[in-house]
Amino acid sequence: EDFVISDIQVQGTERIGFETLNTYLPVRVGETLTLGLEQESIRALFRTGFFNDIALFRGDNNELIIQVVERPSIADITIKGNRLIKTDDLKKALTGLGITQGKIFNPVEMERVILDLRRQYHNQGYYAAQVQITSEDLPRNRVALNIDITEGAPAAIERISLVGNNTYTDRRLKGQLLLKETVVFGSADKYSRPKLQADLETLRSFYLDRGFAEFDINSSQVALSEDLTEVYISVNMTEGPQYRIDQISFSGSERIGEDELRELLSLETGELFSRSRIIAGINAIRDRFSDLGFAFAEVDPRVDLNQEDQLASINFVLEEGSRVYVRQIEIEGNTRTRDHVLRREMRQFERAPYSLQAVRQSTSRLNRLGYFSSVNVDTRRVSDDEVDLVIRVEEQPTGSFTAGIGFSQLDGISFNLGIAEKNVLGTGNELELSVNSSVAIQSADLGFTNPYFTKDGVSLSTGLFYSKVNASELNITDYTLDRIGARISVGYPTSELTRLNMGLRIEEVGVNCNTSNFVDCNKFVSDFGKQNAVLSLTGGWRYDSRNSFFFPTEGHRASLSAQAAIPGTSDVTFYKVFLDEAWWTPLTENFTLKLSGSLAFGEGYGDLTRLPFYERFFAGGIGSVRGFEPNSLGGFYTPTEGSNRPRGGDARAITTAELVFPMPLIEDSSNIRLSWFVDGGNIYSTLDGVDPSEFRIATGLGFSWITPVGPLAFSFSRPLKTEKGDKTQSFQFSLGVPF
Amino acid sequence: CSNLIQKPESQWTVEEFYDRAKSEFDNGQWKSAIEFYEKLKANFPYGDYAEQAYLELAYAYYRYDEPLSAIRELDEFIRLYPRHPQLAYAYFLKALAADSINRSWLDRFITDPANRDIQSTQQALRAYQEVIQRFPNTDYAIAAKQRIVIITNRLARRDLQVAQFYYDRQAYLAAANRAQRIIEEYPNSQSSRKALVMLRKAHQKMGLDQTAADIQQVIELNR
Amino acid sequence: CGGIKPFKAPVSQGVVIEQAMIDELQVGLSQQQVRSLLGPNYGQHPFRPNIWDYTYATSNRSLHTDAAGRLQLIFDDQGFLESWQVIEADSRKIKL
Repeated sequence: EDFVISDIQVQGTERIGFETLNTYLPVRVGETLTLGLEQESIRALFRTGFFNDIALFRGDNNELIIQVVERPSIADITIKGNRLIKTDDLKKALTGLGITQGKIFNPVEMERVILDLRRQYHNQGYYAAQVQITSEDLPRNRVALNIDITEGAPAAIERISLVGNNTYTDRRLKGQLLLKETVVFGSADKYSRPKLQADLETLRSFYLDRGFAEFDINSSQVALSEDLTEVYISVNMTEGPQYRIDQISFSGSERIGEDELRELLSLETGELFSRSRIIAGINAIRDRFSDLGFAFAEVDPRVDLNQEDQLASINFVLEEGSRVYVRQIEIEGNTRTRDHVLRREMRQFERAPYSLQAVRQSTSRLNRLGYFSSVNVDTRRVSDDEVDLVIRVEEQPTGSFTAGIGFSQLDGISFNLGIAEKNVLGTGNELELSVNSSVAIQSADLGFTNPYFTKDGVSLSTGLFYSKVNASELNITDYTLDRIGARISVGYPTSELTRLNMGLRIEEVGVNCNTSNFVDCNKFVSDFGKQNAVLSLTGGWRYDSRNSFFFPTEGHRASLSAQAAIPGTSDVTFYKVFLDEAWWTPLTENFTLKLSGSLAFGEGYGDLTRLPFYERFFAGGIGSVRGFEPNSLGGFYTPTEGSNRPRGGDARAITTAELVFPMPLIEDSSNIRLSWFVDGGNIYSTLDGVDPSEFRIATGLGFSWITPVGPLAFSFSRPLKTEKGDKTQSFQFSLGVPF
Repeated sequence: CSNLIQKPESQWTVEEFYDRAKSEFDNGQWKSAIEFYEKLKANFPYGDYAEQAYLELAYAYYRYDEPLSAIRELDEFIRLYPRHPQLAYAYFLKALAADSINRSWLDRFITDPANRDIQSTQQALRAYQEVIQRFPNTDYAIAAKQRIVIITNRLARRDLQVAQFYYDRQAYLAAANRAQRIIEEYPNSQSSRKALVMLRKAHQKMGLDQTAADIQQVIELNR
Repeated sequence: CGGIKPFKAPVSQGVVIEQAMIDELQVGLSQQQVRSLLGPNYGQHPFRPNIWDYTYATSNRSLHTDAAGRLQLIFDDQGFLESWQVIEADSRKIKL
């Protein structure tokens, strides 16, 4: 008979806590326990799978006593005999089924586990695989599980027979497939269901892209030998006639003119019917609609096949839908960068017609900032004519920081601090600060750039620099330089992808020729004196369409910049011109080809014919021509000239071809890249002396990684073309130098 | 508990795991406390100790500045024990953890959390509101109300910054929308007066003078 | 690829109202009907929900040349369309 529950007590539990059990109980203290509720409670407790036996009693003063016998819990799991599927993957699969250490052991479940494991093996073509699970009791109501797997041999493909392919030979079709009958190495001859499905799809698109609009796979059978080690696959297909495109017509919206539609579609009458080309055409038209704000336009191809003349006419039904508007733009994941620093890169505004082109431009602009390891702009539909844009970013280190206190017999205790931050405190401003001081060298360089000095993207960058070298401390015999100066420049966009900048640079250079009477130095000082102040104009133009800052896979960056001393302000009047060009294109999903070239040259004017000896260009090492010692190209001074430094020159030409790919075997290699490169280049005394046949060339493997301390790069290289006297260096390394 | 050292961990009882974890917890060794609580949960997932372990592990993650892990543990706890007496604490700790995602020590001096990672702020707001709605007369609710005032001010301040951003770029409809959102969703925030002024200025710039005049009246009404 | 003149990114705001849409307006339409005909009512009066101002402004007039500058709609208390008027025919030019 029923009674009001005064309290609930549980007996016989060792591992199950009261609260865990209480969660599943349909009754509570204070409720009346009816017969129905009692049955329901028992059923509920059984469903948890925790207990072998459950009994309910009524206590002396109406407590509900629940007496249970707990099922054992799994102490540990040992798996033996698995080679194909690794133990960790098996353990992960078991966790998915609720079979892990500490969980309750339920013998009924074991059947399901065996089935699941065998299915995993069947999928990989191991039809002969057997799985046994035995459990062994342990003290304290625990159990040890051993899973013995006998994998057997994978079913090798004995024969693939194709039926119904009249136009293309078996050899040609089988060449397209992942599954092969014989294979030199690898497991292409091992059967697996996913591979078969992929192959059937490959066959379908192979035919549909070559005019066979009615191609169909009637059936595909997989037959096994008795010993389950050999597989016979047969695929039965009907090709159907090969169609050519006849009439192309459009119906529905007239918003886009017919000739523009045909141009976007780029399908000609008489051309073979090809599904992939039709899909490409449809996407081009849909993008065009999106540009006009019709983001949900639909283009539906109605194909009408004329079997006798094997002609296919297609009528594209254009459903423009309603014009779509952007209601709101939200930003997520910017744990450091401020909202407006991202929003100012957006070309799409809130409460405005949606434009696909604007969203694409915004995404690539955000990627080019270099603050994020990933940027994606999701379009979230809010109503049938409104969307919200959600900019989802993942921040990444945007600077390099080096600090150190050093000691060397040469220049005693030295202290250095180097900060380069592209996104200071998330404000989007750039700061470079480097200070080092030791007995021999004191130098400081401070640079600050605000890319958005005005809201339209006019940038302002300023900088101060100072360096003083005490040659005797470092027993440098030939010459040392002291520099002090400042620079300021303003830049503004001249189009979506191009910028112009101009500025001023004032610098005083002190040349100290030391004991070794270095010829070039003495000649310079006798002509122009030790101290020279130079005021020069700087200017440049830049085009940048890369799709990301650090590791672009597509895009193009070209720049022309020049620096010229203003005549009359100094005797040391010279100019320098830098031409740079880099181009990226994706070869496959992972492989990107980068081609780049740079030419730098300079000349004196007025009293100076050549660049001052300390302003010459150098090349060699990471950042210019890898495989050669830093600055070693272009030869060295001879001791008779009073120095053994690299000579440098008034012209430098460098070219690079690089195949860039992510680090294999690492899932998240978003900030690591490997590359196989061929670097070439050289230094020439004058611009007209530049002659690519004299290029020094090296090839090798490069590694670049964006670390919290700064971009790290190293390379192993082998020279391909060198002359006598070149100083090669196979391993090179750099930290903090932006690549 | 010297004998613990000889016995390999695989033979520890649940009490031994719990004592070790609790001692680490009590003297603030969050990292090792986390390690032992996780081991306790792995080996004895259902006992009374496991229930307590969830809460202390979540608090350890929170103090170890891993708010996302804390939230994960608390969500699991709330799912497993919907009737647990400490449920209010679990919800409140979850709100605290969400609130700490966007926290940075610079906020007291130079930076303003309003212009960063607004998603976690909204998550914190929802979590605090859930505390008040589920456990209205607990001191957790009182603490939650105070935090809600700070957070709504932050959310309103952010919308005002975005409104100003669009206003400066002559995107007056966007500016008006952001200002209106403040008035509708955060009426008693510190920014609501400035939002009304922004609303009027935006409408004036759009040439909707009558509407601007009506807004001006509303401004004067609640001066 | 860009001359010397500083480039300013285009700005546009509001809803494109074409003459064809205005022709379909009739007295007595519900707010929902007007909404699905004209598009989102971004210009609704913040304190008087029965006054809707559809406006369109852009710095790049070549995109939606035919868009109306300002269309005002007045609804009665039950929310049915009472009157409408194109106050400005041309879209407002945003001078960058």
